[in-house]
Amino acid sequence: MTKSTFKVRLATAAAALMLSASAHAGEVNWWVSEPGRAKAQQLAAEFEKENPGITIKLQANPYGGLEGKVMIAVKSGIPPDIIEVQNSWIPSYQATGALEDVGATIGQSVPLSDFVPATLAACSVDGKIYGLPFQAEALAMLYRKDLFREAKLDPEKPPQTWDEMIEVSKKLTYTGPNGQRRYGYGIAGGGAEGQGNTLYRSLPYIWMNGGDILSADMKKSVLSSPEAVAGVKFYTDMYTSLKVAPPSTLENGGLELRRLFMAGTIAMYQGTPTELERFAQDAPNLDYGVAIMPHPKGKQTSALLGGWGFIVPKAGKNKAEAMKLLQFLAKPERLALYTRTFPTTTTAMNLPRFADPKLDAFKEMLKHARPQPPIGTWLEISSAYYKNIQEVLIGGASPQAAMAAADKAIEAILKKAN
Amino acid sequence: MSDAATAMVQTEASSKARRAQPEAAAPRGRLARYLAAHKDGPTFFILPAIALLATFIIYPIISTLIMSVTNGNGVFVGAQNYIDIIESDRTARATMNTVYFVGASIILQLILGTAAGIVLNEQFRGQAIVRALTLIPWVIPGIVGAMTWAWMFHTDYGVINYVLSSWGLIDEPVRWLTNPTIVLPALTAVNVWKMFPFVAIMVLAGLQSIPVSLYEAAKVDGATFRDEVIYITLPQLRPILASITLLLIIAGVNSITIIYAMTKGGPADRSLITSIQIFVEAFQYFNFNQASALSVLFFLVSTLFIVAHIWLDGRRKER
Repeated sequence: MTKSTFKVRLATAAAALMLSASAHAGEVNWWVSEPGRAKAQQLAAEFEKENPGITIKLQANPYGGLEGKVMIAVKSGIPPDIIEVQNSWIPSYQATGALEDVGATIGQSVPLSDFVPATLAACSVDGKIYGLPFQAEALAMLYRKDLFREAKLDPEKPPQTWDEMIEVSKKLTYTGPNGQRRYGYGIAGGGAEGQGNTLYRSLPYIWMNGGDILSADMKKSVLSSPEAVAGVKFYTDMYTSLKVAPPSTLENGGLELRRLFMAGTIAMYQGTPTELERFAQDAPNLDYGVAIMPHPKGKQTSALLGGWGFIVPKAGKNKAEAMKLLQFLAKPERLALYTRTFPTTTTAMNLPRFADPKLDAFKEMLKHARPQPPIGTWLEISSAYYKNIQEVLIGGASPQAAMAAADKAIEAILKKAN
Repeated sequence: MSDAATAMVQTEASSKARRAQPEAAAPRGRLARYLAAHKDGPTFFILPAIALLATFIIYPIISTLIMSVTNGNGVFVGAQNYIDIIESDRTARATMNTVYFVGASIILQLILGTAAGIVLNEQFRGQAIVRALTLIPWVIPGIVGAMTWAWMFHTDYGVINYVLSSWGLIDEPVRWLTNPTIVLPALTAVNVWKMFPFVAIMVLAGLQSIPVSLYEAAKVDGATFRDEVIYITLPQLRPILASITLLLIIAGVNSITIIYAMTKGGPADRSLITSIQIFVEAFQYFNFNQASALSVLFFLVSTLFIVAHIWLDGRRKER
């Protein structure tokens, strides 16, 4: 091999390498989450068929650490063109103006009025829409009908109010015939995804009682208000004073609660619609019901809106193709196909896939669901809240004192951000 | 193939450069003259190493220092980040936890590791197997060990509480990872379990370098096993134990895997250590500036410890 032919080969190899590293024109880099992989592949194939000349490069990411991974990708300057994210992350990404306003694009494909308003609000910052919401859900109360019967309670009459909830939980807490300890109500207080899981399960109690974490203009903390403290007290009392929640409460997130529920250790907990699939798979004979969350007497129930959407980073290389894909995905039948719980438009919601009567309570909760406040520092704020919920649970402070401490910490975070 | 190719290209390029040298004008300036005079000397040979150091160590240190005195938009804010981070209640708690976690870990690791090393040095049947088994905690990945321990410690379905209650030793389940007074000792125990084999293997290596004649002489004088350990083994091991301690301090202050995987610093920061605090500030809240300030303080304090340790060790050797 002479030197000159060698050099030519080297140059060709280098050029080939560079080409494969950079995206081709007409290639859309699409990031989805791991559970969506199979359906995304199906949709990508359909899209490529409809749009010859555009290819989709799909990457499926696991849930763990996804929020940070997307943040780094968006800030890197060479992000993927379209990314599946939790809607509550959007404000922190948009804090540096990194996202494309997609409201008009979606509107050309589907009338925006077809969307459940709260789902669009969850993707919006300052009135502009930065994501296509495809999935929406709210937690409902899951309860074991067999354990209700054993405790001489009517399984068709789950608790409606806070007082009934306490009463029923007490009756469901006892030592079973085989020595198994049973607990009325499993609350989340820790675990691998403890912060998010605890927020979703405790914040609605503050809301239904008329309290909140931040004021409406998101300028100050209102956590130490009597309404908020009473909500926190109701939630944490289940473990600290009433002891109707299991001793492992500080290790329990959604996953652990589901396991305890299937084992019969807890009789009630707050779960997502995805749990029903898991029950069908892991415990097909489980005798359970789904109810709306109990509320203070004379007040409305409430829920924290969970959901996922697709964002388009401003720095993406193939904006036009990405927008085309977004419009393709926004069609009701595709939202209905891709969502793992409920879709975000009324048309999609009326499809037969969502007609199971077991889902009725979840649908009802969705009507009462509110998104998280669109503020860039929300993760840090909810972390301060979570830490102080744990403080109450370990007996380190009263709800009043802990929420005063959280209030102070959140004020400091708000001050720093301004 | 590609490595060889790069090397070839480099050789070719440098030989060209060398050929071109004499034609160049006489170098001006002190640095240029120095480089020209020493171009075949050590300076050139260490350049690649210096470049690597500069890229991967010096540049990050400088950029961390800069970030620690600026805000998110790169505007100079003086010591504000340092003041904020020192005033934070979390920092004080994390510091106390770090001191406890690292201190207790090192003491227990040294005691347990040295004992294990001495036992493993004795001749007995199955010695090779026992030596290999002892290494297991150190060999398996930290995250695997941590997750396994987290399951074993679980209040309701962990095997530890199950065994203790079936033996009648406890009535109520122990909240190993969520009781604020138990969580840090429990995590320390896992850390000791993870690292003591490392101490044992280092001690074992040290023991094998102790001349047998010392023990023979002691036996002649009627020394027991205990006497041998106290008057020969431990004094002979002192230099190696000193190095191990230094390594354990470094490993201890940087250890993040075990605690992060098992409790994430919870409940309510009761097991938060400084390295986790930095990680969370930087990569979860994206407060890179305060995280940098905390890193700089952390770096200074650990350097202080390490320098003190090396100095004490050097003085001991002189004596």
